[in-house]
Amino acid sequence: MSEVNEMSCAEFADAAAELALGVLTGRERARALAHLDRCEACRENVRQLAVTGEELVGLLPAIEPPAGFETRVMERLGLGAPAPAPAPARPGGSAWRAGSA
Amino acid sequence: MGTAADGMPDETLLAGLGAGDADLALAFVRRFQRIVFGVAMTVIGDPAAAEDVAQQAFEQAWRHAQVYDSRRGSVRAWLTTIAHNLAVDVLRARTSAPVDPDDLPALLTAVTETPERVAVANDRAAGLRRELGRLPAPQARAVAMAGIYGMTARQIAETEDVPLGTAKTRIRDGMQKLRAAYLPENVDDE
Repeated sequence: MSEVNEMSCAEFADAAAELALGVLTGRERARALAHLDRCEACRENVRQLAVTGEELVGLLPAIEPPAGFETRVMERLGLGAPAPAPAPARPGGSAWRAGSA
Repeated sequence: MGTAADGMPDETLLAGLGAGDADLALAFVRRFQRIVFGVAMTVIGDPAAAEDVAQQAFEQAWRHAQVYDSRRGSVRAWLTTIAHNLAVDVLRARTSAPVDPDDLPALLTAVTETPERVAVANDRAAGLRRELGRLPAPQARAVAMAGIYGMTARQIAETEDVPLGTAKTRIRDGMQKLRAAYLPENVDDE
Protein backbone atom coordinates (compact mmCIF):
# COMPACT_ATOMS: atom_id res chain seq x y z
CA MET A 1 0.00 0.00 0.00
CA SER A 2 1.38 3.40 -0.90
CA GLU A 3 -1.25 5.21 1.11
CA VAL A 4 0.28 7.66 3.54
CA ASN A 5 -1.02 7.91 7.03
CA GLU A 6 -1.99 11.56 6.91
CA MET A 7 -1.26 13.82 9.82
CA SER A 8 -3.99 16.25 10.85
CA CYS A 9 -3.32 19.89 11.78
CA ALA A 10 -4.09 19.09 15.41
CA GLU A 11 -1.68 16.19 15.38
CA PHE A 12 0.89 18.34 13.64
CA ALA A 13 0.53 21.08 16.26
CA ASP A 14 1.63 18.58 18.91
CA ALA A 15 4.89 17.94 17.03
CA ALA A 16 5.47 21.43 15.56
CA ALA A 17 7.84 22.63 18.27
CA GLU A 18 9.97 19.49 18.02
CA LEU A 19 10.14 19.86 14.25
CA ALA A 20 11.05 23.56 14.56
CA LEU A 21 13.86 22.74 17.00
CA GLY A 22 15.19 19.99 14.76
CA VAL A 23 14.62 17.20 17.27
CA LEU A 24 11.83 15.30 15.56
CA THR A 25 13.03 11.99 14.13
CA GLY A 26 12.11 9.06 11.97
CA ARG A 27 8.61 8.35 10.79
CA GLU A 28 7.04 11.15 12.83
CA ARG A 29 9.36 13.65 11.17
CA ALA A 30 8.54 12.29 7.72
CA ARG A 31 4.83 12.56 8.35
CA ALA A 32 5.15 16.08 9.75
CA LEU A 33 7.15 17.20 6.71
CA ALA A 34 4.54 15.66 4.40
CA HIS A 35 1.85 17.63 6.20
CA LEU A 36 3.88 20.84 5.91
CA ASP A 37 4.03 20.40 2.16
CA ARG A 38 0.29 20.75 2.00
CA CYS A 39 -0.51 23.20 4.79
CA GLU A 40 0.43 26.88 4.60
CA ALA A 41 -0.91 27.68 8.09
CA CYS A 42 1.19 25.00 9.75
CA ARG A 43 4.26 26.16 7.79
CA GLU A 44 3.89 29.62 9.29
CA ASN A 45 3.42 28.10 12.73
CA VAL A 46 6.69 26.18 12.40
CA ARG A 47 8.52 29.19 11.01
CA GLN A 48 7.57 31.23 14.06
CA LEU A 49 8.59 28.45 16.41
CA ALA A 50 11.91 28.09 14.59
CA VAL A 51 12.62 31.82 14.94
CA THR A 52 11.75 31.55 18.63
CA GLY A 53 14.21 28.66 18.91
CA GLU A 54 16.92 30.77 17.28
CA GLU A 55 16.23 33.58 19.73
CA LEU A 56 16.55 31.07 22.55
CA VAL A 57 20.02 30.07 21.35
CA GLY A 58 20.79 33.79 21.13
CA LEU A 59 20.33 34.02 24.91
CA LEU A 60 23.36 31.84 25.58
CA PRO A 61 26.16 33.67 27.35
CA ALA A 62 29.15 34.94 25.42
CA ILE A 63 32.41 33.36 26.58
CA GLU A 64 35.97 34.47 25.91
CA PRO A 65 37.66 31.85 23.69
CA PRO A 66 41.10 30.44 24.54
CA ALA A 67 44.11 32.67 23.84
CA GLY A 68 45.19 32.69 20.21
CA PHE A 69 41.77 31.69 18.93
CA GLU A 70 41.49 34.43 16.33
CA THR A 71 44.97 33.66 14.99
CA ARG A 72 44.09 29.98 14.59
CA VAL A 73 40.84 30.85 12.81
CA MET A 74 42.64 33.17 10.39
CA GLU A 75 45.24 30.49 9.68
CA ARG A 76 42.49 27.96 9.07
CA LEU A 77 40.97 30.31 6.49
CA GLY A 78 44.34 30.86 4.84
CA LEU A 79 44.17 34.52 5.83
CA GLY A 80 46.78 34.45 8.54
CA ALA A 81 49.00 37.51 8.73
CA PRO A 82 52.70 36.93 8.12
CA ALA A 83 52.85 35.48 11.57
CA PRO A 84 54.51 37.38 14.39
CA ALA A 85 56.42 34.23 15.21
CA PRO A 86 57.06 33.55 18.88
CA ALA A 87 60.75 34.12 18.32
CA PRO A 88 62.86 34.91 21.35
CA ALA A 89 63.23 38.64 21.96
CA ARG A 90 66.49 40.06 20.72
CA PRO A 91 67.89 42.44 23.28
CA GLY A 92 69.06 45.63 21.66
CA GLY A 93 67.56 44.69 18.32
CA SER A 94 64.63 47.02 18.47
CA ALA A 95 66.19 50.21 17.16
CA TRP A 96 63.62 50.29 14.37
CA ARG A 97 60.92 50.91 16.91
CA ALA A 98 62.37 54.12 18.19
CA GLY A 99 60.68 56.22 15.56
CA SER A 100 57.22 54.88 16.23
CA ALA A 101 57.11 55.66 19.93
CA MET B 1 44.56 47.40 17.48
CA GLY B 2 41.53 49.52 16.54
CA THR B 3 40.89 49.81 12.82
CA ALA B 4 38.30 51.37 10.54
CA ALA B 5 36.72 47.93 10.21
CA ASP B 6 35.65 48.04 13.86
CA GLY B 7 32.92 50.56 13.05
CA MET B 8 31.58 48.77 10.00
CA PRO B 9 28.19 47.00 9.89
CA ASP B 10 28.11 43.24 10.46
CA GLU B 11 27.03 42.67 6.84
CA THR B 12 30.08 44.52 5.52
CA LEU B 13 32.45 42.46 7.62
CA LEU B 14 30.74 39.24 6.54
CA ALA B 15 31.03 40.24 2.88
CA GLY B 16 34.71 41.00 3.49
CA LEU B 17 35.20 37.62 5.10
CA GLY B 18 33.58 35.93 2.11
CA ALA B 19 35.81 37.87 -0.25
CA GLY B 20 38.93 36.85 1.66
CA ASP B 21 39.79 40.36 2.86
CA ALA B 22 42.13 39.66 5.79
CA ASP B 23 41.43 42.92 7.67
CA LEU B 24 37.65 42.62 7.46
CA ALA B 25 37.79 38.90 8.20
CA LEU B 26 39.84 39.54 11.34
CA ALA B 27 37.41 42.24 12.44
CA PHE B 28 34.54 39.80 11.86
CA VAL B 29 36.20 37.09 13.94
CA ARG B 30 36.99 39.55 16.73
CA ARG B 31 33.45 40.86 16.79
CA PHE B 32 31.78 37.46 17.02
CA GLN B 33 34.27 35.06 18.59
CA ARG B 34 32.92 35.40 22.14
CA ILE B 35 29.37 34.71 20.97
CA VAL B 36 30.35 31.76 18.77
CA PHE B 37 32.61 30.22 21.39
CA GLY B 38 29.96 30.84 24.07
CA VAL B 39 27.36 28.86 22.14
CA ALA B 40 29.78 26.01 21.42
CA MET B 41 31.14 25.90 24.96
CA THR B 42 27.72 26.02 26.61
CA VAL B 43 26.36 23.22 24.45
CA ILE B 44 29.43 20.96 24.45
CA GLY B 45 31.04 21.80 27.78
CA ASP B 46 34.55 20.88 26.68
CA PRO B 47 36.90 23.74 25.70
CA ALA B 48 38.91 21.83 23.09
CA ALA B 49 35.85 20.47 21.27
CA ALA B 50 34.14 23.86 21.62
CA GLU B 51 37.10 25.63 20.04
CA ASP B 52 37.03 23.22 17.12
CA VAL B 53 33.31 23.83 16.61
CA ALA B 54 33.80 27.60 16.88
CA GLN B 55 36.55 27.46 14.25
CA GLN B 56 34.33 25.36 11.99
CA ALA B 57 31.55 27.92 12.41
CA PHE B 58 33.79 30.71 11.14
CA GLU B 59 34.94 28.49 8.31
CA GLN B 60 31.32 27.85 7.28
CA ALA B 61 30.54 31.56 7.50
CA TRP B 62 33.52 32.19 5.22
CA ARG B 63 32.39 29.54 2.71
CA HIS B 64 28.73 30.51 2.73
CA ALA B 65 28.93 34.29 3.18
CA GLN B 66 27.24 34.83 -0.20
CA VAL B 67 24.25 32.74 0.90
CA TYR B 68 23.53 34.99 3.87
CA ASP B 69 20.23 36.84 3.35
CA SER B 70 19.65 39.86 5.60
CA ARG B 71 15.90 39.62 5.07
CA ARG B 72 15.87 36.36 6.98
CA GLY B 73 17.67 37.56 10.08
CA SER B 74 20.75 39.26 11.47
CA VAL B 75 24.31 38.17 10.78
CA ARG B 76 24.59 37.44 14.47
CA ALA B 77 21.57 35.10 14.45
CA TRP B 78 22.81 33.41 11.27
CA LEU B 79 26.25 32.77 12.69
CA THR B 80 24.85 31.68 16.05
CA THR B 81 22.63 29.14 14.30
CA ILE B 82 25.61 27.77 12.35
CA ALA B 83 27.60 27.36 15.58
CA HIS B 84 24.65 25.82 17.38
CA ASN B 85 23.97 23.25 14.65
CA LEU B 86 27.63 22.21 14.63
CA ALA B 87 27.71 21.96 18.42
CA VAL B 88 24.56 19.82 18.53
CA ASP B 89 26.06 17.52 15.88
CA VAL B 90 29.09 16.97 18.11
CA LEU B 91 26.86 16.28 21.09
CA ARG B 92 24.79 13.76 19.13
CA ALA B 93 27.88 11.89 17.98
CA ARG B 94 28.72 11.16 21.59
CA THR B 95 27.50 7.92 23.05
CA SER B 96 27.09 9.25 26.56
CA ALA B 97 24.03 11.15 27.72
CA PRO B 98 23.86 14.48 25.86
CA VAL B 99 23.49 16.51 29.03
CA ASP B 100 23.92 16.06 32.73
CA PRO B 101 20.56 17.06 34.24
CA ASP B 102 22.48 18.65 37.10
CA ASP B 103 23.85 21.21 34.63
CA LEU B 104 20.41 22.48 33.64
CA PRO B 105 19.74 24.84 36.55
CA ALA B 106 23.01 26.65 35.85
CA LEU B 107 22.18 26.91 32.17
CA LEU B 108 18.70 28.25 32.85
CA THR B 109 20.10 30.78 35.29
CA ALA B 110 22.62 31.85 32.67
CA VAL B 111 20.03 32.44 29.98
CA THR B 112 17.44 34.11 32.19
CA GLU B 113 19.48 36.27 34.53
CA THR B 114 22.57 37.67 32.86
CA PRO B 115 21.31 40.14 30.28
CA GLU B 116 24.60 42.02 29.98
CA ARG B 117 26.46 38.92 28.88
CA VAL B 118 24.03 37.40 26.40
CA ALA B 119 24.64 36.98 22.72
CA VAL B 120 21.67 39.05 21.63
CA ALA B 121 20.90 42.22 23.50
CA ASN B 122 17.54 43.66 22.48
CA ASP B 123 13.99 44.02 23.75
CA ARG B 124 12.81 40.87 22.06
CA ALA B 125 15.52 38.87 23.77
CA ALA B 126 14.58 40.50 27.07
CA GLY B 127 10.95 39.45 26.60
CA LEU B 128 11.94 35.92 25.74
CA ARG B 129 14.28 35.70 28.71
CA ARG B 130 11.54 36.94 31.03
CA GLU B 131 9.05 34.42 29.67
CA LEU B 132 11.56 31.59 29.98
CA GLY B 133 12.00 32.54 33.63
CA ARG B 134 8.24 32.34 34.12
CA LEU B 135 7.78 28.89 32.59
CA PRO B 136 7.04 26.03 34.98
CA ALA B 137 10.41 24.42 35.71
CA PRO B 138 9.69 21.14 33.86
CA GLN B 139 8.76 23.08 30.71
CA ALA B 140 11.81 25.33 30.95
CA ARG B 141 14.01 22.28 31.32
CA ALA B 142 12.36 20.51 28.38
CA VAL B 143 12.71 23.61 26.19
CA ALA B 144 16.38 23.95 27.14
CA MET B 145 17.13 20.28 26.54
CA ALA B 146 15.46 20.30 23.11
CA GLY B 147 16.30 23.85 22.00
CA ILE B 148 19.83 24.20 23.39
CA TYR B 149 21.12 20.62 23.55
CA GLY B 150 19.12 19.23 20.62
CA MET B 151 17.73 16.36 22.66
CA THR B 152 14.74 14.41 21.32
CA ALA B 153 11.54 14.02 23.31
CA ARG B 154 12.52 10.41 23.96
CA GLN B 155 15.90 11.43 25.41
CA ILE B 156 14.20 14.07 27.54
CA ALA B 157 11.66 11.53 28.79
CA GLU B 158 14.49 9.19 29.81
CA THR B 159 16.52 11.95 31.44
CA GLU B 160 13.53 13.28 33.38
CA ASP B 161 12.06 9.83 34.02
CA VAL B 162 8.63 10.76 32.65
CA PRO B 163 6.45 9.20 29.90
CA LEU B 164 7.27 10.17 26.33
CA GLY B 165 3.91 11.95 25.96
CA THR B 166 4.71 14.13 28.95
CA ALA B 167 8.07 15.16 27.51
CA LYS B 168 6.44 16.05 24.18
CA THR B 169 3.75 18.10 25.87
CA ARG B 170 6.33 20.00 27.89
CA ILE B 171 8.29 20.93 24.76
CA ARG B 172 5.12 21.93 22.93
CA ASP B 173 3.60 24.00 25.74
CA GLY B 174 6.89 25.66 26.68
CA MET B 175 7.70 26.66 23.11
CA GLN B 176 4.18 27.95 22.44
CA LYS B 177 4.43 30.23 25.47
CA LEU B 178 7.84 31.51 24.41
CA ARG B 179 6.57 32.20 20.92
CA ALA B 180 3.55 34.07 22.28
CA ALA B 181 5.89 36.25 24.31
CA TYR B 182 8.14 36.83 21.32
CA LEU B 183 5.54 37.48 18.65
CA PRO B 184 3.47 40.50 19.74
CA GLU B 185 6.50 42.77 19.38
CA ASN B 186 7.05 41.38 15.91
CA VAL B 187 4.29 43.57 14.53
CA ASP B 188 5.92 46.97 14.98
CA ASP B 189 9.45 45.70 14.67
CA GLU B 190 10.62 47.07 11.35
